[in-house]
Amino acid sequence: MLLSTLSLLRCALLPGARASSPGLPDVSERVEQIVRQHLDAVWRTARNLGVAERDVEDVVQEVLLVVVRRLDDIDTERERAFVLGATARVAANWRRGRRRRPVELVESIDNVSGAHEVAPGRAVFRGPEQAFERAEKLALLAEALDQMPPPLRVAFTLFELEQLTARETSEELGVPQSAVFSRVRRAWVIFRRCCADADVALREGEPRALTLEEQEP
Amino acid sequence: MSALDRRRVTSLDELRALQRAEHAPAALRRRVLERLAAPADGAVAPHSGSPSAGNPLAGNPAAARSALRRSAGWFALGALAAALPFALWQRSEPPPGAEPELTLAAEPDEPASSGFEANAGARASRTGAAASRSSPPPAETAAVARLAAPTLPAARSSIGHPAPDTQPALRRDLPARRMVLPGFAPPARWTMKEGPLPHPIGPNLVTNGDFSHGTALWSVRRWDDFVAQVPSALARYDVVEGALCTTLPSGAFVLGGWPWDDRSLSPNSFALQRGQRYRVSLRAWIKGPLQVALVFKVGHQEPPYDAALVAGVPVTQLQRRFSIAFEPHADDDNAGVGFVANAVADPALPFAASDLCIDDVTLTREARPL
Repeated sequence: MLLSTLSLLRCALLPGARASSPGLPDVSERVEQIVRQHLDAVWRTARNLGVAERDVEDVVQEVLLVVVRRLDDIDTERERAFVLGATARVAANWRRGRRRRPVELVESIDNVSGAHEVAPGRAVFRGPEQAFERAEKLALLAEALDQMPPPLRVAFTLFELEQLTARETSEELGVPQSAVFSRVRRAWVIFRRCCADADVALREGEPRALTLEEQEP
Repeated sequence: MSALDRRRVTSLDELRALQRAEHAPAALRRRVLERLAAPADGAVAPHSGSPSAGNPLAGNPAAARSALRRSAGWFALGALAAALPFALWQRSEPPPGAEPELTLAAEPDEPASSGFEANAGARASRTGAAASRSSPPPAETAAVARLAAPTLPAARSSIGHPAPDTQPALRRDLPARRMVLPGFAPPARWTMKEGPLPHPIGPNLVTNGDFSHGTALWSVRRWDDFVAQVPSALARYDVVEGALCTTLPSGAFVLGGWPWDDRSLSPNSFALQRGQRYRVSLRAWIKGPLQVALVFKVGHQEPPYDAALVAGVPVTQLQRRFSIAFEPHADDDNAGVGFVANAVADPALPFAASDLCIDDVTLTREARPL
């Protein structure tokens, strides 16, 4: 155990301790492009999947390592689906690992919704009232996600929040599309119930899971 | 409509838009990009194929901190677990540095009635300090041998003899678990030989076989419901002192494997070539009072789970390296390794449990012996 711990520490503190690998293809350019395009989605999805704030960075780094390792397998048109699917799997690993670790009861102050950066020009919150409104709505969504069992939460996050297609969601989760629809439908029931409990009226069309039909290629 | 009124109505589209207005912390973005911009540190080989090719914790203090937290937690648990049954398993603690190496080889000339585990127990009794404890009582021996007997051995044994014709037909419709369960076990004809291993050809085909990256790519699931096609719940397992250890309560079955559900973490499979000689090797031992039957398998990762090798491993409290040579019947471009383990129930110890640990799992090509 001690040796293992020291090894981890050495690797963390001495990046150069690992042997460099000459002759490897330069993958950094494409990886950097993927990072720039999808880092926000990975970060957002990890949080939506319940990863604790203190571990989100670890999960994001792990997802990006998966991307680096699987770079040759990633279809350029499915980058986003792949990255989000990897995020779901890494988050599932995190969830399993958390069951084996004691939980720290102290939550980061960053977990307070609204404490994160907002891109310039993307959204402008003019005052505390709007900020409060925004935080309250995001808290409602977080509460609903927390009440969903993990399979429903993952399906809802990928399909509804990140808007992957049913085909992409089913491929990334390794379940049939009918299962995706079923999970999203059940997640919607929980979401609606949370809104009702919070006395918030939900303005909705037909839920996407019930209406979208995947077209065969 | 006032702000208060607006708060009482929302939609998923609005919530989605609010979420997307948030961005990852600039510090995180900066750290990730800085790491990518440092090729000497950050170049991780795609499809490296070797567990030592790239450590994802290198240069990643956050991940290392998380791993250290996990390690510390397990260290505390391990200390507690060691303190409670100390008197029990202290007697079976192997002497420091002792790691005899055993090679499993098929012996067609052995009498059919001599089960592998029985042979293993007899021979193990001459090899280690824990001999008297490692041999199961007669009542258990049959059960252990039944489970641990190789059901679908490789096309050729490690000494070149063809597999006996008495093997049951390959049940292509059965999942991997049922292939290694009792009921499919022909008479075992395995013995063990001690000696150095031949030099491997090429790299280890099993990623993270030394568990230097924790449990990445490995998982262990409980298999108490024998009707289920797929094990459901996760078993208790983690990397302890560099080995994958899983806790087996009395009578429990588990199915472990590489990879199991993390198929996105590449490389997640290797190719086997028909006629090529391979050698699978692992260190395995148990900690605890219960005898554990361990069956190790190399085969196709997906249905029909065709097996290239299924072999019982006579695991004892003594840390030993086992190696098994085999030659696949057919090419397989998506192969993996897995194991089934069963803690043999002891009526005298109904609440006991044993830990099964495996480490340094390797699968390498090797040249045929002359």
